[in-house]
Amino acid sequence: MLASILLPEIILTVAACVLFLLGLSRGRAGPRAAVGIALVALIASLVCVFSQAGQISEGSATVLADEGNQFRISAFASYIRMIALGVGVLLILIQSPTKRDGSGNDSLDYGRDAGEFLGLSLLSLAGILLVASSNDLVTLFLGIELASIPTYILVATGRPLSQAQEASLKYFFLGAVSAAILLLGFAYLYGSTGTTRLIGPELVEYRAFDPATGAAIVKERPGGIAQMIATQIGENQTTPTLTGWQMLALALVFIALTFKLAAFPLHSYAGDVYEGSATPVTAFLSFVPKLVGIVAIIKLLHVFSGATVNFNPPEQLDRLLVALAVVTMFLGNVLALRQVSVKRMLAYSSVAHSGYLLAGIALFALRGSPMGDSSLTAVLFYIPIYGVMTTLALSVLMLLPTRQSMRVLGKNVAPPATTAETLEDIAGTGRLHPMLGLAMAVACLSLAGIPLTAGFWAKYELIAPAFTKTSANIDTTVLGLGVIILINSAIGAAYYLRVVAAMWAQPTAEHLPKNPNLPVRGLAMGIVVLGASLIILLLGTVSQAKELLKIEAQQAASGLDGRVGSPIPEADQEDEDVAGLVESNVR
Amino acid sequence: MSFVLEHSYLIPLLPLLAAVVVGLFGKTFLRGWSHLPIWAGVGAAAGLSITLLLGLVSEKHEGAVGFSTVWFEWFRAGAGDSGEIVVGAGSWIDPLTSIMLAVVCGIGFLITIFAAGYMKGERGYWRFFAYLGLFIFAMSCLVMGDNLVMLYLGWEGVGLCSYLLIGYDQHRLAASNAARKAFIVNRIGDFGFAVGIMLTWYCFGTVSYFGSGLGGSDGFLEMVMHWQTHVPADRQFLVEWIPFALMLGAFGKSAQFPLHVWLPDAMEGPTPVSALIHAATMVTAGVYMIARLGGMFVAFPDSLLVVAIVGAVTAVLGATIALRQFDLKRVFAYSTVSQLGFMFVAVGVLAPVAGVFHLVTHAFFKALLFLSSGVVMHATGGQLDLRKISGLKKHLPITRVVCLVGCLALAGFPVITAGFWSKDEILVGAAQVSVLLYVTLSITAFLTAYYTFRLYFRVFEGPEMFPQSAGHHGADSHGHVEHDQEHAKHQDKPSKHEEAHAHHHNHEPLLLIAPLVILAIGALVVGVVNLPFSAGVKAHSLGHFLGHSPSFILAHDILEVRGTSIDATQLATQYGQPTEKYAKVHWVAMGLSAVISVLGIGLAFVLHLKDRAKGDALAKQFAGVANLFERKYFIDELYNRLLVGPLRAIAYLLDALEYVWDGLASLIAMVPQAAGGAIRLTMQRGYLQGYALTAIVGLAVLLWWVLV
Repeated sequence: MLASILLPEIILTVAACVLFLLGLSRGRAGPRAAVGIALVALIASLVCVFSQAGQISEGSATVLADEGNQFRISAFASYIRMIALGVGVLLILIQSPTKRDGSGNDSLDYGRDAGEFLGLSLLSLAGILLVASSNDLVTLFLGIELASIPTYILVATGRPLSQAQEASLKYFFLGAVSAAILLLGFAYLYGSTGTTRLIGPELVEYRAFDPATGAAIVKERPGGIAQMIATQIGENQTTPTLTGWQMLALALVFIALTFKLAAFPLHSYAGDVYEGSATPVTAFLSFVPKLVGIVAIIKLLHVFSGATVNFNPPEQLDRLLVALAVVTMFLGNVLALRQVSVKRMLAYSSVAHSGYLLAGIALFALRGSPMGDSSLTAVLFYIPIYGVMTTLALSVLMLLPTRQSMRVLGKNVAPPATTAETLEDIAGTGRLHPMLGLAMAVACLSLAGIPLTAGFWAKYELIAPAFTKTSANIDTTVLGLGVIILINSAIGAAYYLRVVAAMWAQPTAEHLPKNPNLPVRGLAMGIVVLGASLIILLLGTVSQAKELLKIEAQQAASGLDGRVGSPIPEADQEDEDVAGLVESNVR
Repeated sequence: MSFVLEHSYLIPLLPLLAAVVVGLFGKTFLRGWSHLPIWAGVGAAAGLSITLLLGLVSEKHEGAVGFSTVWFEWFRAGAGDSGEIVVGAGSWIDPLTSIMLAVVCGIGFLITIFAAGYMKGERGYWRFFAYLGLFIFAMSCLVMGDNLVMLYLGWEGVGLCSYLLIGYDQHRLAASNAARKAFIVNRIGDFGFAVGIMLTWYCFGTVSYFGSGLGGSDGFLEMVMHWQTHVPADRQFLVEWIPFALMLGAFGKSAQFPLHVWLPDAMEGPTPVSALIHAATMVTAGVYMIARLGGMFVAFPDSLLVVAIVGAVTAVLGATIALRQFDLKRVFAYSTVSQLGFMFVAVGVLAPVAGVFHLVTHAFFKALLFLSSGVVMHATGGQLDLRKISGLKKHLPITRVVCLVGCLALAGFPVITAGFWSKDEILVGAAQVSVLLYVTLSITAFLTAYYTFRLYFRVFEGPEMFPQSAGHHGADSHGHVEHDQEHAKHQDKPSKHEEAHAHHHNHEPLLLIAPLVILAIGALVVGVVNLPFSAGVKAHSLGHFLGHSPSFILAHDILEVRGTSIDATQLATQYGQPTEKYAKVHWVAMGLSAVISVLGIGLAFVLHLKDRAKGDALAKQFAGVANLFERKYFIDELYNRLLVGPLRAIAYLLDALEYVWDGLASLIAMVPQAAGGAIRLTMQRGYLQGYALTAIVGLAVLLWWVLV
């Protein structure tokens, strides 16, 4: 049962192991085959995910869980796995080598380590799947770190630029800080609730010793954190009252997770790391850890609002989320405004997008609305669109002509594996390469949220609930948050449009070759650029396509818990807990 | 025919596809072959349209005939108090549609053939044909749509194509100014049209003409008979304004006074465009609209009175101005304005069959005349000034004959031309309503005959005056007198085309002449479709065919209930409704109009062929009047003074204010910029310890924010 539930993760991990072994080979064929193996693994994993999704929607159970209830595949988990793997295909495609010896392409140089490189990418993707399916603080932590640690290595692998090494180091150190804060938070969580299980049975029995008599007696307690929190919901109340320790724990966890999201206060690394990495890695970084963070936050929020159908976390959490969202949006957008490097600009833009996602979650929490309701749907709808458009923008950047040489300490050196980076580099390239110019325009307009692109609908769905009246009295915080998202969209439009303007309206920079060959060419890149552009335009213009994705997101949002209409699966076996408590299902 | 009915979407779709193909590949691959996809697309549409028309004609019908096809639901919006609007893209095919389609696609096809020869070697050849394809798409949507929004889509579509094609020669200021003028003047009319559509929806809750489309069980044309029961009480005061609002749109598109000023300038476009868009099809859209929405207008008789008066004024205005124009195309342009006035009078005096009949015959002979002027221009190197060309019959023998046919038709030469029959019907219709209207139109008809033959005698007869620059291709660099100098510059550089011309002096290539001959035959014979008496063909065939259209039936029903001063049999005939006996033939009116026509031609013969000096002297004698006509009643100047000047002043004022607002807005934009710079310099300096510090301080602040 455990194996069948985790089959998608297992496939990816096994493929990663194969790729690591392949990395030992010295031939040319190995690196070339690596991308193929990675893609096959992704597709196989995707097939598994789809079949599991089919079981969830068609079968009697709305959730698949293992015997120990450590992993639960709800509609939400299925959706996250699907979009992770779907965008993962694009992310792997842009890592494919085009150099003759298979050592990478013009923007990415993994030397002989193609196998390792792609293996690490797969492991990181497996981490997201694990986060999506985990139902225990331990497995959740495992998933988060599985997704993160490979990315620390990806930044530095085969990139002998000092910026890359610096970026990797900064990323790793700050990552370690965040992991420490996260674990601290998890420890408090366990301490204050007595269990690591997120959603368990209503009650479990445990054996204890009567302090008076010394005899063994059987006591009962709630089976998971969610159930524990549910007992803290007082009568006539909709939200649980959290104890101080629980609140502290949650605050620590959420703040630690902002590192994955590149959100305030752990956003600082974004600029340096995204810029220092090779462009395909930047694309990877701006999607994979972010998804991990968002999924973990949604899961924990759900659990800490008592896992009720009405998602209504305590007021302090609302406040925390609003603060995180607002500061992150402003920081990201304002910092992106003044960047000269397009990559750095996109890094801060990804910070801003984290802010939008957090704002969506905050709106959801603030409005205390039912699970399938608009805000959570909007967040889930936003994520894949964000992934596709940011990947498209970075892919086009990869394809634009490279500057021929770079002056370092007065000497002309040709740095390894650099793409066009500054606004000056891309000036006028739209007219030289109209197709790339158009694709970049599509990506940037979509990121800015201009109509007829997918990005518009993503933002629309996100903002609309803030201005929808649900009750007679207007919540000023909700309204204010909506207005702040709007203001930030306006600031954002400035720097996205600057890219389009540079590509189409400015004269070509002098240092660019007059008749350049495009640096990276290949079928894979073509598929990514064309495919992503088409997806964005299709979602933006064909309302049926948009509705299709939205319905998926809605199902995922309402199936967050997986308990709606079905009981928690029975756990028959006795299971030793860390604390030596023996649980058994009382039912 | 059932194939066409089932697949009616093909008629707009094929030209659109052709346009897309040419638009995408014209510049790079097709180049000089860009006309081929358009020929194929428009030709197929023409084939389908004519199949449809013949199919409908050959079947025996009783009562209303109309086929509704919903292609897809286009959009759906709104809900709540004012209700939901559902708009389908679909076709409504009835006799009126089929005739309009046949005219649009059929004549459109002939003109695309002509254009391939005429535009050869022009810069942006592909662009021209892409626009033509797009135009046919929009125009067929306009005439076959089953609701007002489809009509509006086509309406704006043809407006756009008209704009693009008038300004086809982007590098010439006159052309781009004319294009802008056309677009802006049309906007004024279209604004009214849009308001009319909104009011229709607001009052009736649907924009479909008839019930079987999307959006409600009844179309608004079916409701209009008993509109008091259908329109909510608080909205009833709006209903009577609907026809007036819609009418504005018709006046704009069909160049009726006071919105007629754009059409003469539109002649800056290439000649095939003038023929297709600004004579045969687009400008008649207003007539089609009023005929289609007849019920809406008939229910509010005041609106039709306005239509008739505006039509009559425009007819006189156009004809008098045409008297003193010297540019061939301008004469035709004003003549078109005047003839459209005739059609508006027809629909205004409850004779829509006559209006549509004249629309059809006019499409033939006016397209013919424009294309002939194109051939003349082709031969004379863009010279169209009546004072500078003369006696071209030797050089252009075939053109002379077909042009003569066109002129006769326009002049309404008795019996043998189509123009005679259709104009006669309008005159008869006008006479039923008011003698004044009849006299006005008769005078206009006299003037028409005169100016038409003034032109013919000047250009083709008399002493030969063939400009030396002959052979230069002047398709889009003709122009009226003011542009001559500019034109001379163009001629400094002889094109390849010109050199080729120097070798063989065939001014009448087959591609140009073949469509002309077909149109000429049409200009002679299409009159037989609606003779007032049986002569081989049954009397009023067109009328009875059109009479099956629900638009005509519904309008006639309303009239029957309301009652009019017109004799019932006559009225039924004017609406193509079945009658027990034919309406009596108005021999006197027919005789009079024949005499008027011949007199006009005779006068032109005297003044412009026999003794040109006398004609010129006459003009000098009445210099004031002549100048008034020549300067087009100073209407353009008036508009410039009264409208353009003040508007421009307001624009300058707003521009100045804008400068202030913009400054303020920039100040606001400075805030995030400055913040970004500040944060970048303080918090984003690249120091790892700094980042960690940010993280820890942030953590502390947030914990305080949450926990305390």
